[in-house]
Amino acid sequence: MSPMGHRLIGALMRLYPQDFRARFGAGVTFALEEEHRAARRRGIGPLVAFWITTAWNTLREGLRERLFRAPVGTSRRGLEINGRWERGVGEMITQTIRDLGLALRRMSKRPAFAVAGIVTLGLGIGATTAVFSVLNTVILRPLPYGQSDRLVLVGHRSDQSTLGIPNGGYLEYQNRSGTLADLAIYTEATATFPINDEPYELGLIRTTPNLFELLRVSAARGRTFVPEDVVEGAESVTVISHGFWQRMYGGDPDVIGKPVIEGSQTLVVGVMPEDFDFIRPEASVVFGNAFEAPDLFFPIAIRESEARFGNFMYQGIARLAPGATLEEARTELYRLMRDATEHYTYGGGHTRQSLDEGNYVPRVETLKDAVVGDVARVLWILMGTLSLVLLIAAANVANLFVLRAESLQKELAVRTALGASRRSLARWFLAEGLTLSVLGGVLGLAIASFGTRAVLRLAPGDLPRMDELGVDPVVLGFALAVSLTAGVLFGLVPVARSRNLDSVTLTMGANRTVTDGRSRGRTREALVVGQVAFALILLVGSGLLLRTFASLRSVDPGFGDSNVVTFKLALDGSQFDGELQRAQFMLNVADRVAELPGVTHTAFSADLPVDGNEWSDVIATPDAIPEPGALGDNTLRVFAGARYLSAIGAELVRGREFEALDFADYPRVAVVNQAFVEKRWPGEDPIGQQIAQWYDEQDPQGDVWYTVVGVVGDIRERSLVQEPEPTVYLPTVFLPESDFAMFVTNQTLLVQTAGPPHEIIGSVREEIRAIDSQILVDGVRTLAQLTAGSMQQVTFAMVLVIISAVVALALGIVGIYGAVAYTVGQRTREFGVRIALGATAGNIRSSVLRRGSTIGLTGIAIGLGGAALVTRVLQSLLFGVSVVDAPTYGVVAAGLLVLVLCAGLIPAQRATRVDPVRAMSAD
Amino acid sequence: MPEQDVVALLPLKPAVFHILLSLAQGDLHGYGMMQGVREASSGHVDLKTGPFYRHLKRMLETGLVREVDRPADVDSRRGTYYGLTPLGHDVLRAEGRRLSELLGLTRRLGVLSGG
Repeated sequence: MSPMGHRLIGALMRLYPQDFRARFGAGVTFALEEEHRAARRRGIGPLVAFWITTAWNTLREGLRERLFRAPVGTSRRGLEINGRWERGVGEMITQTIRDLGLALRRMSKRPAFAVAGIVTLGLGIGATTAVFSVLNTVILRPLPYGQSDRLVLVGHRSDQSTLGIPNGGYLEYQNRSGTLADLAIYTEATATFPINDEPYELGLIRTTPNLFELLRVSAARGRTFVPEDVVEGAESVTVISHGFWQRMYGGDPDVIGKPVIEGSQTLVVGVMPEDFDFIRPEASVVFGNAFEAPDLFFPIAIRESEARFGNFMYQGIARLAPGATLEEARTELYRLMRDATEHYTYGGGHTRQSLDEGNYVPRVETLKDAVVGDVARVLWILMGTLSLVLLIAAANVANLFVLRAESLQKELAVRTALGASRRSLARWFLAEGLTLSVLGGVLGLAIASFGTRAVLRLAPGDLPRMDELGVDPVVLGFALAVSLTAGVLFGLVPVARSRNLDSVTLTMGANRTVTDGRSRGRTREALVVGQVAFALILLVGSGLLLRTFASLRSVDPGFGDSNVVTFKLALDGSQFDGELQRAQFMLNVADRVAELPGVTHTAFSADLPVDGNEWSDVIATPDAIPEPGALGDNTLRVFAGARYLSAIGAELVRGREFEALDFADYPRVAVVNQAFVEKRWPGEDPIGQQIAQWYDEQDPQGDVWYTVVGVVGDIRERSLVQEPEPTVYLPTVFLPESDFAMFVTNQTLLVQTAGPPHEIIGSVREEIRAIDSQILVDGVRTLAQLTAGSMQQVTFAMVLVIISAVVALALGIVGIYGAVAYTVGQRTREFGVRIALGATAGNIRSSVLRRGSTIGLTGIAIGLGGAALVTRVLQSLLFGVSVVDAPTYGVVAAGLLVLVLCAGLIPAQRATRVDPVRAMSAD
Repeated sequence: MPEQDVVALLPLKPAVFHILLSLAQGDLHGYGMMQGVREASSGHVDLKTGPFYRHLKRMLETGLVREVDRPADVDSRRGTYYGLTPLGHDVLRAEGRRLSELLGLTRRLGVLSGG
């Protein structure tokens, strides 16, 4: 006895009431186990049969025991022993149980019908439920904040990019806007920190104190921020997440008022509730969404004396004033934005003129739209399409029942003639419909829960709110309602149709017509046409996403991703005397690791390609120093260490990259990419030119000039889908007094290997531990993984659409097969006559196939038109392929046509084998 | 046992008759009875565990069978042993007689020899 079988039998036994088990349990279990053993010896078929009959028998008997518990010793002799017991109080229930049993038995005799029905319903319900679960989680459920429909994202847009808010913009909007009731701004950062000796990447949020009040959330312990937290000289405070509280302090109830880290000046004033999640609108403009959930919140002050309308480094969330609309807010903010350039001018910033030149406009959209974004549209379309597919599937199953009712017409007529009531006929069909749809529903739920789990595994890390995903009760109810309604309808359709059953005409065989009624055939074929069309639309969608996937794979990112592993090292700033020492330490680590066997190259860097984690800066050249106030062009800036570019396999076009020697002192060298050269120095020699980061005169970095020593080929720094931009590479070392030092707390060690990269991970970790056991190593990823991460959203949408397409395709093919097979069945007599008159197999076959291909071609034509319209919603996800990509449409249409013809071929073949004598003599 | 009690129980369901038959050879545990039925009927009466125990329970309630002591050398996993009661013997005999009378009638009328 396998333990699994043992457990299953044990579970089944629970269906019996306690007293029955006490009396017979041992015997029943023994008998079942013996039967199981015997069935298993005979093979998989008998084993499956064993489980089905055992489950059914136990369910039925257990229910019967529970419902009709006859006390032992009562004088109900005879009952049941000779079959007269059934006519009792529980007649109806017993009858229902029996009906269901009979339905099951009848269905098992016609497995094709049952399987077609169950699978059709199961696929339809399963796919719809899975997509609805995703949709419900991501879109329909409100954000977990008070009156979250009034929350909006506030930012800006220009010709070139999507931007956040400058501090001057915050002050202007917060103080003077009538359409925004409240506005909070924040920035994100990460730091790696040891908790219980494990490296832990912390998400940090620096925010204006009003954020929590604006979201209408309060602390579970202590308090959130108050305006006094940011006045001059106030104590430094922090609010922590539930998760951080648990990990760092083990849920210490007295954490309020303690320093956040031992010896720190910053005190914990509040702990957020467990269910609090700070849902941030989108990949932060400046930093990228580097972490999933923030651990620590710090209050920041925005001071009038330092404000200007430039450097859009903050993210904004606002609550609309009562009655205000998004459009009103946009109009008002546009006016205020232009005023702000005059009110806040510390260190320059934008002017009205520069705003107009760059087409700057405020961006105000609901937080939900901002969070859910493009994925929402894809989900809606999928949901819509799948609902239609489900409807068609249900119609198809109903059709199956009608067909069956028709094939049973004579039997029904005989039964009616023999005195069967309409009620008992209805019960017959209802039992069948319910059994089938409930089984379909169960299969559907299984598919749905499996599907949602698969979706969860595939979802891109930055897809919002996926952690909340599950098959929820609403969805469950939805699926059950669909399947039960379908079951009742399926059961009733044949009964309704049998209303005009005339026992005489039917038994006399008055239905000796040659072919089926035309109109009913039309309806059925229209349904199949619809299925083919939807299958085609979804297949085209899958095709386009597949091609996007392929184009992404073939994009030249400007670096090679083979055999490079990255290790993120958290270097505690206090260990080093400034940036330079830290860089030298990294060089030392890189050199030591380079000597390990199997390692061919090492480097270090602060930034990595395609991780969406880059800054834009204003870069000055001596002959193009920005006027105070003017902002010039934004240029991507990457902080790189020694030998970084060759480690990632970038192509050095001219000169050299950063070498170890550069870091002997504060380095003053830079590398630029080709796009930068073409833009700034077309036709000139870039080597030896001077560049500088430029904020304004007060900026300590402002007067640091770097000499260009090399030119590198263009690299896709932001993501695979974003074209390379003019980029400068600066050494990842700053002057001691630099503002930037606080952001670069992590350094990444890059290791290029001769063999498979994962093989050296262990030895590299060991080597680092040997150098300094205090160093925390985290974020071990290969460059290939980084690249794959950049494709996640497309992959996700692609998988969803492909699953839907396969479902629609399967249903469509079953539909076509059914329609053609049915036609063949109806025309058996006609074919018999034709064959008797000398028609060849070819004649018959082509006659049947013509019908099938007409259906198929109509569906394909409609589907092509539909696809051209519907796939537009995929636009934003596509890359390197047009929405109306002819090859995709062609291949899909041709492939579908072939499948459609194949589906028709089987019944067509059957038609050629019609025996004329039989066909004509059968009634 | 009063005659009418026995008659009230006839005719027996085939399964019940076969179960009684299986016990006529001696006391058995549940699974043994099921196998006995299957063998005696050459597989025509294929009793599954669930329905079998429903019949068994009714037969216990009606007093056709009773629980008996398990033979000392038998594995206790097999569950309770059952045997026929005097009523069970009577009912089995009565049903057997009824069937054989029916069979005799059938023979006399030449139904079986026809075709």
